[in-house]
Amino acid sequence: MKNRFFENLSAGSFSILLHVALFALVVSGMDFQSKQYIAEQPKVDIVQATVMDEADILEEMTRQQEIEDKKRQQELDRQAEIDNKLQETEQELEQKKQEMLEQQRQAELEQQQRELEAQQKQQEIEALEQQRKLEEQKKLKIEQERKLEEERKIKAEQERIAEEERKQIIAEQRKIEEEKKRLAEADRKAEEARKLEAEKARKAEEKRLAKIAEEKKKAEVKAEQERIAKEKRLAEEKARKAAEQAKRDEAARLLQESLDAEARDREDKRIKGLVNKYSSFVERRVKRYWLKPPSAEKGLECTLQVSLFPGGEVKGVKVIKSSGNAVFDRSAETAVYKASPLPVPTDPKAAAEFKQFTFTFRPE
Amino acid sequence: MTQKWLKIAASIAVLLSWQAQAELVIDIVGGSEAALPIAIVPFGNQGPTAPVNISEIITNDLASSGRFDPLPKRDLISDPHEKADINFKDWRLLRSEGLLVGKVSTEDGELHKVQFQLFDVYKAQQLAGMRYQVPAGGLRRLAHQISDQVYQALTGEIGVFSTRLAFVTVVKNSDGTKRFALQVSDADGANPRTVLQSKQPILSPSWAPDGERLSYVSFENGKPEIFIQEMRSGRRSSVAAFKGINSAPSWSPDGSKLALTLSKAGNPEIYVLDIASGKLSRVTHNSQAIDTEAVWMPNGKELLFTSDRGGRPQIYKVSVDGGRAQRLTFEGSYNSSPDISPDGRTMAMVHGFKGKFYIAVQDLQTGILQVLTETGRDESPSFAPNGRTILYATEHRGKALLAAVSVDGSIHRRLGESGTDVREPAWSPLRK
Amino acid sequence: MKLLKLVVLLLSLIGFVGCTTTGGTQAGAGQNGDGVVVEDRTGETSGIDDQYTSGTGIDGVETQVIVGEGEYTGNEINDPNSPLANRVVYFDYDSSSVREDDIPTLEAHAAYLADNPNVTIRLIGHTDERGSREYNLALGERRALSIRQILMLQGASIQQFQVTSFGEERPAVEGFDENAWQQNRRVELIYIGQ
Repeated sequence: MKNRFFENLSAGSFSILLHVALFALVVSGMDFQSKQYIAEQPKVDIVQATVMDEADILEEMTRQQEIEDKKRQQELDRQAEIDNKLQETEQELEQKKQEMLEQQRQAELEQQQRELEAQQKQQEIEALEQQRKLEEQKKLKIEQERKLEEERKIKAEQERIAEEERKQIIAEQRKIEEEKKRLAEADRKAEEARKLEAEKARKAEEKRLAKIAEEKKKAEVKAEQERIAKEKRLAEEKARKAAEQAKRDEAARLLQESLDAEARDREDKRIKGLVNKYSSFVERRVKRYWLKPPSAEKGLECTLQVSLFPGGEVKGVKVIKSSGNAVFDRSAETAVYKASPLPVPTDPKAAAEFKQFTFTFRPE
Repeated sequence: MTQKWLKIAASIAVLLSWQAQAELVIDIVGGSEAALPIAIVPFGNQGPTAPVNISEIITNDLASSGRFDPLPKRDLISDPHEKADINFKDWRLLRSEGLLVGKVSTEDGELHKVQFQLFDVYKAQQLAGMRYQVPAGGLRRLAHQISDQVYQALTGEIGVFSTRLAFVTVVKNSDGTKRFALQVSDADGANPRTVLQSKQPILSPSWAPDGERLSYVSFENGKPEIFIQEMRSGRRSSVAAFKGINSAPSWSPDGSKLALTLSKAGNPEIYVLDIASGKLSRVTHNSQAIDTEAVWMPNGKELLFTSDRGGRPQIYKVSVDGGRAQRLTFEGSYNSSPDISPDGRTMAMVHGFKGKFYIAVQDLQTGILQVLTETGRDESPSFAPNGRTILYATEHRGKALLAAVSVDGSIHRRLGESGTDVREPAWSPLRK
Repeated sequence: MKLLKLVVLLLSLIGFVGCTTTGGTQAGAGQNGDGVVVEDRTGETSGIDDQYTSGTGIDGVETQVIVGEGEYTGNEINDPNSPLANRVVYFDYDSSSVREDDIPTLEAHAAYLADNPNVTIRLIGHTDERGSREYNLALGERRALSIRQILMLQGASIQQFQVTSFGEERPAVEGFDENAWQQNRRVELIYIGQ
């Protein structure tokens, strides 16, 4: 590239020089040309006419002819000059051309040399590269072998660990089994202990009962002894027996009464249960029929007293506590009426609760 | 001996436990909020048929409130017109809670005698009853008044069936120009009458508390100006035609002042105009912000208004005398067009969320906001004078129309789909 | 390549040499023998447009007659090609800031107003239909006022302005989509009496 640049530069500067030279020529030629132009333009001369001899005229003519010849010669000379100059420039051109060719050749030679050198260097580099690659390959092999070794070691480790784990699991399983055996043992022992306990309790009971029996016997013996000892107190003893009888009767009666009370309690609960159940039926039904006014604010509360006929028909509704809002109160009353007849239990005791009762109505 | 005492003690105990059972008490908590079933029997007619079907109007009124469930005509088992005709047992079978009967008689063709009676079916008691004498032209209004009485007797709240609505309609002419009209109708949308007609837009009608005058914004002179117009006579006067915009008029609870928005000072601010004297006093002084849409609190001392002083429109409260404004809305990026319930506790507004606009209410004590509508193209909320319903403008299938929603959001209805575009509703006060 | 250059050189030289013997004409003012200057106009251009015809008058003086599109006689305010013909300025949602592209239009209007202090202009603000009507009325006015401020900064005086707003009440395009909305968010500039 550099060579070409210099080529262009020299060529360019050369051409510039040439053009300048040519321009100079042209300019100088121009003057020559303009003169010629004017010379050829038809002139409108104001000629002063004078009479002249033929000889004078011939003289004039020859003079003029000479002048013109001179001029022509001058012109030819100039043309020759130009030709010379052209030749010179041509020669210069040739020279330059030659010089350039020389330069080119030299440059080419240099290039070839450089290329050779480059090639040599390349070869050297490639040789080095090959060496390096061989060395790397050797290294890789060594690495690979090392890795394989490591892996073998790891596998050996893993197997060792797996073995140990297996041993642990076996050990644990054994432990679990032993535990189970221990628990079973413990259970058996507990059972045995319980059986022993039960036995003991039974024996204790028997002993107690035996003791009571013994004591009873002792008492009876004492009583008999007393009777035998004191015949005079037969009447008192009979009286005592009668008294005891009376006591026993009393106790029996009390027992019966408490049993009755329990029965009544149960009955109460049953009735309460019924009342609750039907209360919720009634509540649901009345609620369903209750259209509360949308303007009902929270906090309003109205209480109605309602009396029913035995079948559940509404007998009467009375506001016993107003909410303060007549429309709200009326909506509650209407709800009760609309829900009539209310569901009431058939059991007469429960139904009695529904003869007269209270509703409280709240919007929230 | 002790055994005897034991016996006595035991029996006494049993007796006591028996008596300790007090009267049964059942608690009812909850209840349903369904519409109240009511039977409305067509009024009996004596003489030529009255020009207005009173019971029909009453049935529609009560049904549209969402609070009543009138029995279908075919289910009416009998045709009573007064108490003597009624067998309450029959009506109880139908599970109807209320029963309305009545009579209309036309004797001389001019005056109509009307009477109604409302009964509690279950208690068989009369809850309300009245007798009237009205000319034919007053029959429709009378029907709405009866609806009010029935509504109040059965719900405990004031009815608004005799009130009126004001709104703006827009009709496109065949040549592409538009015709604007300010109209007033009955609360059910019937009987609309035009109060003002213009080729230029009309905005923001506001009712005076006496129901006799309307204030509104008109563009008839090429820019927004505020007028007051007497409904009966049609007489009107311009009350604000200052440089800039004159808009958003709102009548004070005592009817003597108008809150309005003027930009004559360079940007929109809230002013209060004393109508009689014409004196203006300025309330807001924020030269960077748009302050508009002022409405009065029922105590007449404070104003709610829309301001973008915080960047985007939000609602603020300020004393009528001016001073620092307190911001009220904090949810959503756009809150505007406030209106306040008659008890001063609930504020209705337009709530912008993700590019859509809904009607919402906010409890002024708790600050809790509840969105009531769904179309996302809702504006101009206006409270009914019983605070139960909010009227607003919306769009359905490309047409602008009015709709109403109950303040708890449970009942929705659309008002008539006549074909003309309707907007800017304002609910009148109760008739005095 | 070198050979080619040489050949070209030689040919050009020959050409020049040939020129010396034959002579030729040349453009440029030259002198006649008696000193009269003769102008040669072929190839020269004068005037701003290419579209013009020149006619000769007396003594070589020309009158320029302008015809064709692109040029306008009469008041510049009615010139459909001037930036003054642009009488609407558009805005982004919820904004009253003027867009960059509209600045040249506004500069032209401001210049016209500054040059003609007797001319009055009406600025009408508008919004799209989303949101509260009353708030939109105020927002429209805010947009118109921001236009007025820009025009006044550029030389117009405040007495020349009438500012008002129609909010969302006078849409240019009916519709509920961004296409309609963006055409409605605007300020209109209306010259009074033109």
